[in-house]
Amino acid sequence: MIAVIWVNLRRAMGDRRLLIIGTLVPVVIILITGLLEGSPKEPIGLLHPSPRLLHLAETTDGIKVRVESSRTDLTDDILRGRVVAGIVQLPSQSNSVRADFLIESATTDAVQARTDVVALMDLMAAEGSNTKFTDATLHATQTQAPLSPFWYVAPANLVLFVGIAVLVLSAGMVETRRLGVLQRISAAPVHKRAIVFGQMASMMVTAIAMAIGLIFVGIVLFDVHWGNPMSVFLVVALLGISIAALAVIIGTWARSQEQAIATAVIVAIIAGMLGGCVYQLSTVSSTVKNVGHIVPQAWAMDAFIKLISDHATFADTLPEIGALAVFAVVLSAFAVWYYSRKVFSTT
Amino acid sequence: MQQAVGGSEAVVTTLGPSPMLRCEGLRKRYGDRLAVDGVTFSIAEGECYGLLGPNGAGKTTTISMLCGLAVPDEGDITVDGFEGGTLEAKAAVGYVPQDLALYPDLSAVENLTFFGQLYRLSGKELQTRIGETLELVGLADRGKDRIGTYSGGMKRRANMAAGLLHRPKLLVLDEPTVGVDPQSRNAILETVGKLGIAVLYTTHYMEEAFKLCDRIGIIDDGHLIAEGTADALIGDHGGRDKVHLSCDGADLDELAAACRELENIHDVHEVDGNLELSTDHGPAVLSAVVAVATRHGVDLTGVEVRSPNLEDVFLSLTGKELRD
Ligand SMILES: Nc1ncnc2c1ncn2[C@@H]1O[C@H](COP(=O)(O)OP(=O)(O)OP(=O)(O)O)[C@@H](O)[C@H]1O
Ligand SMILES: [Mg+2]
Repeated sequence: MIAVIWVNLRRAMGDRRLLIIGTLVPVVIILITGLLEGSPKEPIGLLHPSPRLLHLAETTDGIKVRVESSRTDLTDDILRGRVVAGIVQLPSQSNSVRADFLIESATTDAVQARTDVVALMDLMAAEGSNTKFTDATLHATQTQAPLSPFWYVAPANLVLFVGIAVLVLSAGMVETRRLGVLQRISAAPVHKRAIVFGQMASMMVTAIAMAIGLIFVGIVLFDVHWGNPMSVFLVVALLGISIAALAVIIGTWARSQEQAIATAVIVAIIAGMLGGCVYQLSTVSSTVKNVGHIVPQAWAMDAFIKLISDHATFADTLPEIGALAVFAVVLSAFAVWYYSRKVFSTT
Repeated sequence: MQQAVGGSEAVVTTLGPSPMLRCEGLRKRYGDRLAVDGVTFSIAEGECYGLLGPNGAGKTTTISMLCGLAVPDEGDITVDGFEGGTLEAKAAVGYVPQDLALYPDLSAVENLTFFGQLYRLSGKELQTRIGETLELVGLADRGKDRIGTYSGGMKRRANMAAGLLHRPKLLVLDEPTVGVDPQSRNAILETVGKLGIAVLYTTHYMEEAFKLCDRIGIIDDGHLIAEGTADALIGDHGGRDKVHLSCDGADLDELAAACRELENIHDVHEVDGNLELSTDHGPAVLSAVVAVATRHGVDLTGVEVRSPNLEDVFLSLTGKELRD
């Protein structure tokens, strides 16, 4: 069984398609979509702005502002990346302007925003106001980690592309069968169940390894804070098992490699869309959202969103983990049954 | 020692006490087609047994059953004393499938490592065996290359290496030389020839079976219709030597009549303006035949003596050609 796992992994590693679909493409896509969403044209949050400041901000090109109702809201929006920085205009004697400048940390966006704010203050000073301006980094006061602009696209593409890549691996299964390699393996002194479980296990290991790899890519390249490690691991593992089982089912069913690849890509993309990897499920109608939850991807995305943006605890993610476990068990059981039955039908 | 075998009432051949392989009354049905119908044969230790038959005769099906890939509907298989299909029986067999069954995206060494592990080989021993086996099939210098980059003949040899790696007691080769260039074909035949283990060799090339095999079973339409050494089969079913006389436009009737008078000539008939004589021993009658022709003033443009071969055996047993 170890040998079966090993050889499949060895083949998966040598498979350039897998390398490209599984790692390169998602990283590039995360980068592109993440940069588009987290671009510096996010507005600057304003709290208690004077009419003059508001007017200046609105009439200056290249500056977008958003008026906040409380300091808490402002802080929260900065952390969520809805605004890149905040200005809190403080009450003061007439003809003088005092403001706090709030940023999450010294990101390039924030530096850009600060330049913009200084420019605004200079404008007011030029009108004869006495300006005083204090920097305040949220880092010092906040306890929660900041949200990466990639907070949604990173998990979304992880879920989507692990699905595509692993399902595409099913083509390798078809190849093994068509070449007669599977026959030859069956002629060796190994138990049938070792062959079946070896095949399943290698798919699962590939899926989980790829997902964990993308988690690390998210941390290192995109500064994503994934949240509770236990939850993240379980979500990734159970999602990997479900997708691997699905891949075995497709690999068993398909008659040719082309058929396997086409089916895999279609299934993975549809499941990804239903599962909220393309649009957040929180933004779609409740019908679509409910329908979406027939795929494990949806539960994984729910869990990731909870973990990353709401800093959910392990207990908070138990419903999603439970649902994923059900998917993993049911799909694996079916895959084992179907594979054993179909592939060894002549025996 | 040879005998004709017909159906399941066949008698077990007089081999040693425990043959390496024994099949008895094998029967396998696919849908309403009987692919194998009552096949019985044995292979002794160190013996090379050829299963000779045309396309669709049931060779591959027979092999599938004795390698544990298909369960016979009826009949028994014993390999090295173990019941067919058990792990012990499988461990004793080296199976070389008809089609190339290796991962094309891995190197020969990687493929052999994998198959070696399936046969419980590991570590140094496995590495040594891989080296030896590649040497044996003449691929030692290409072991690191991906199978996909091999030529057709090299693929076949690699395919065979995977079946030999664990030093099986019985090597099962399913048409290993189909579509193979003469060089690789010779390499394969040579390798099989020097192994010294029991071999089951299926083919529809009668020359190969003749050269390589100690005994031959002739299979057609799922039945094993005859079995024995090549010489015995030819002696029993091949018919007589044929002497072919090419005689340009001469009056053949007179010559034919004169030939019939000769000793040891059994039959004379005309084929396309030439004469064909049947005799027990072609070379022995040759001088007499030529003398008769000269006496009748017939100009012989060619004389050919042909001994019967396995094709003739097959033709006489089934009424059809071995290859179409
Ligand atoms: N899996 C299968 N399903 C249905 N019929 C089969 C199957 N395998 C073999 N047969 C049929 O059984 C018969 C014997 O086939 P088999 O492959 O054993 O022939 P063979 O002697 O190996 O021929 P060849 O020289 O072409 O390899 C054929 O008529 C074939 O169509
Ligand atoms: Mg065949």
